[in-house]
Amino acid sequence: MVDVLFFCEGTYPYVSGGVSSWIHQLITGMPDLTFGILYLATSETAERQMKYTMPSNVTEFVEFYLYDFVDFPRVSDGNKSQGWDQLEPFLRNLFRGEGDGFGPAYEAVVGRDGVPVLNYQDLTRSFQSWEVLTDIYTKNFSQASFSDFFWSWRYAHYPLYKTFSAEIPKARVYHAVTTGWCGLLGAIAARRYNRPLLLTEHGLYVNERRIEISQAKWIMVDAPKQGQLEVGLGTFKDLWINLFTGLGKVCYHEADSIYTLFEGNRNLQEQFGARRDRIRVIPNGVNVEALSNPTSRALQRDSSRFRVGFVGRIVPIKDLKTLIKAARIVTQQVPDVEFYLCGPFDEDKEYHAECLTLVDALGLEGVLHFTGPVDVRSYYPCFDVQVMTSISEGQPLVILEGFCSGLPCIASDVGACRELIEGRTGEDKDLGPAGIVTKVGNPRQTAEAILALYRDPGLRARMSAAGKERVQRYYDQRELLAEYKSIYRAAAAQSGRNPAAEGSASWRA
Amino acid sequence: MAGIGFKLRAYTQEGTIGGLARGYYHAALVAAGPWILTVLSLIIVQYLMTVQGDETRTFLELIIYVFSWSLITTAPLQLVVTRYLADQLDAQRLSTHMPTLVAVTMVSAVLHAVIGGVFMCFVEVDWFMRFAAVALFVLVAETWLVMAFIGALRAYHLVATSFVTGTAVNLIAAYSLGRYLGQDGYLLGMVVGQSAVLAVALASLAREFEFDISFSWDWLVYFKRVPQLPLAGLFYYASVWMTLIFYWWGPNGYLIQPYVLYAFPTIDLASFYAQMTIIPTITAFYVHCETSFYEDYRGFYNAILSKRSLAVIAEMRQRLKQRLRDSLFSLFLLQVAATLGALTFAPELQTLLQWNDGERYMFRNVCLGAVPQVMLLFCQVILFYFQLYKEALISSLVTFGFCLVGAFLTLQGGIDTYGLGLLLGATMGCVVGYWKLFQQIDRLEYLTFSKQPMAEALPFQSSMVTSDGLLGHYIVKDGRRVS
Repeated sequence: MVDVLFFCEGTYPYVSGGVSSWIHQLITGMPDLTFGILYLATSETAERQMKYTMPSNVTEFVEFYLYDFVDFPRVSDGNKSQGWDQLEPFLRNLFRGEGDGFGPAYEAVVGRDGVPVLNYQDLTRSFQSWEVLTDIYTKNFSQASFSDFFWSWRYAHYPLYKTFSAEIPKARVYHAVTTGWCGLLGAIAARRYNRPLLLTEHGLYVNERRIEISQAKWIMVDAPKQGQLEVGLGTFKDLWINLFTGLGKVCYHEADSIYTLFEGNRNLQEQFGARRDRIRVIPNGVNVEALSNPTSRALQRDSSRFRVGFVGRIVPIKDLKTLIKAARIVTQQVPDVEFYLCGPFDEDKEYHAECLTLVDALGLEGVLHFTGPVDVRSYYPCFDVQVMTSISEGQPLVILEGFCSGLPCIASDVGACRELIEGRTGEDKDLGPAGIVTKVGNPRQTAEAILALYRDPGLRARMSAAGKERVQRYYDQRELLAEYKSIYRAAAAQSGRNPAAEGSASWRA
Repeated sequence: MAGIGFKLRAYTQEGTIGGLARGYYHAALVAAGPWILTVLSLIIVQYLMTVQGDETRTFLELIIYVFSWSLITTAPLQLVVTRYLADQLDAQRLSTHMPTLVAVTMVSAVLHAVIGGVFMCFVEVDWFMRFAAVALFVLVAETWLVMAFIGALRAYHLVATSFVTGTAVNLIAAYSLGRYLGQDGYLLGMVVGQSAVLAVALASLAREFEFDISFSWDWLVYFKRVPQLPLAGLFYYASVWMTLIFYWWGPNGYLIQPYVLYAFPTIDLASFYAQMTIIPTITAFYVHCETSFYEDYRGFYNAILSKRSLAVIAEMRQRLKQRLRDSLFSLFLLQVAATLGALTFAPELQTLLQWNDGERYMFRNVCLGAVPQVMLLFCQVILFYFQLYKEALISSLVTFGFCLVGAFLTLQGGIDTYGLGLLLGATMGCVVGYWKLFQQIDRLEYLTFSKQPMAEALPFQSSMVTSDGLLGHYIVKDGRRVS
């Protein structure tokens, strides 16, 4: 049995990024604890390469394939009709974006002694499952293509049923790093072994899925009838979003404690159904000492060049097209500016190709460089300013890392960016801004902010000092490690679960 | 057979008497050609033999054995192959027809040669007759199987021609050879005639699907995939022929050779005649009912494929159900009329064919049984369309069980009740088949959608689960890297 088991979906250890770095930081920072990882992958066949060296205190590591469709034969036993009575309200609630009824549904699907009352065949092919499906269709989408609805329903619900049959190593404490499928697995693990579940959300999963689904082309959308106003994202996109919203609520109510990185997220979590008294803000921290004293520089000193850096994955959620457009505006006004986009682009090669096309179309070759995956610590000292134009973020570690090197930051107003740049508490705000916050998806404002810092070295120096001071005072990783160590110890000492669902009058398990 | 049905229906819709006659003539021959012509041949040969004062007993019994047993033994193969070919047609893979035909006829030839050979070793007749009987058994079985391929033919008129030509050859050969060789000659004549039927049918198929001597064994998978299908066919035909076979061992049957050859010629032929009353209804089924059903059937699935709402899909299902019910009722009335007609003319037939009372009773009782029997057949065809093999098997088993009970009871009841087992068994089987069919049609949307596999679904493998029997794949376990 491990001390702590993380549930990771598409992050650690195969994808680098904020959440992965944070997990790696916790695991390597607590060598006296043993860790387990349950990695949710889409498919067994997908090629994966670890981006982190697996620490020796990771003693259990299981992969679970969410979208490999398998007719998993399992023996079932018990009163199926009663099982459906228990499961049906949960399914209906999920469809409405609610999470009520998870407890009875868990018992119906998992069974009390490990033998399910309803197996995969019952859940996907029984007449009762058909009745639930058609009833929801008839009440909500009676004019839409039934075939499209059927397949949307099946693909949305298949992973749901599959997670109930997942192998989850035993642990003293379960720690989900997102809601969604990870959160659901965490809730299942907590019930299966009667151990506490912790949830730490960096970005909000529901929000990120909403963005992804609204842009998705693979989800069928009913064309609006002529003369009819289109409201919402479209029939089947709403179905998916409601599912993830409902799963989020399940996790919030099954978790013993919820953590997030900044106040803005806390408010949103509450809005999405978490109990405020269960949420605690624990900001991310970085190794201030190491980052403040870089040992190497990736680029030669060149006082004649003004260097703008971006650090992160080249993926749509980072909205790099806004940064590229901003680069065009800047270079039209000042010639001696260079842009460096540091980060891997293998996660979404199509998006990377689109960015390259845009760079080419705007004539930015030689001005804007994609470095690929690099040791970013050697780049921070070479930049004059860091820019981040993401459409969704949690609490980006790269901003803090940049502060260590005295880099002011221009960031879009998402996640914790404003708190990091302008300060979280009164005392923190008194330190002054460490950069400029811009609107999301606004190339002109981003460009103006870059130009402001370019033209005013004094402002740049003041912001640099504020950033350095802020990161030293409030975002040292030693604080973070001490905080989580005490949380793990307290949770491991618990005799069982103490989920938010218990003690809440408004929540029906 | 819906493919041919559409072409034949077009004839009948020409609005001329000639078109109507041409449509029904071809339909009857395609639907039951070998059956009609075999019985006709048998009647004529028997008549010729009687006229010539020849000994007919062993010859007739061997022929009856050949036809009745071959229908039972080929039923599983025929249904499996029909299903396989239908799927191939759906997938536009006509190239598999000839290799399948070659493989099927090969399997059947070996199977029936072995069964027939072993059986004939125990029959005390001369070696010539033994070989001829085995050859006839193999040829007749092949003819039933080749019928499964006819549905895909465009040149169906060639098949009809082959049956007529084959029968003519049959009669001439039997008469000519019989005059010189007696029973051996008649049997040899039947072998020659059956060979002619089969040869023309095979030639028509080879012409249409391009002659190709290669083997395709893919159809064998269907025995594993849908084992209920061959079993349903086996029990259906076993039920129908049990009406006959059961009495061979009864108090009125007689022994030709102990432990090997039993018979009851009095009732056997009468039963054959009575079975012919289903031909008009079968013809009507193929020309009208199956074609209109197929249109509704396609309409239902097209509504799904063209992404219509559930209400529209349900409406199509309702329409299919209503029209199918109406069609089956019309066919029922037609069969009742055919049976009543046969019963009305039974005294004339008795005089013409010089029947005794036992034959008359058997004819009457099997004619009555033919009504539910043919309705059961239609229910099964429709069940096969919907791939409701379990339901088809249940109705076949019910028929088989009640036929057994009925045969046993009628054996006690006396010769005037012989054959009523079919009426009992087929009625029960038909009721169950009809009930199951419409019960399943009522939830056709559910059946259609719930059976859909997930796209790119993986077959379950034990490596997909951990030692706890749960889904997942360990990379590190107990601190050791395992993958």
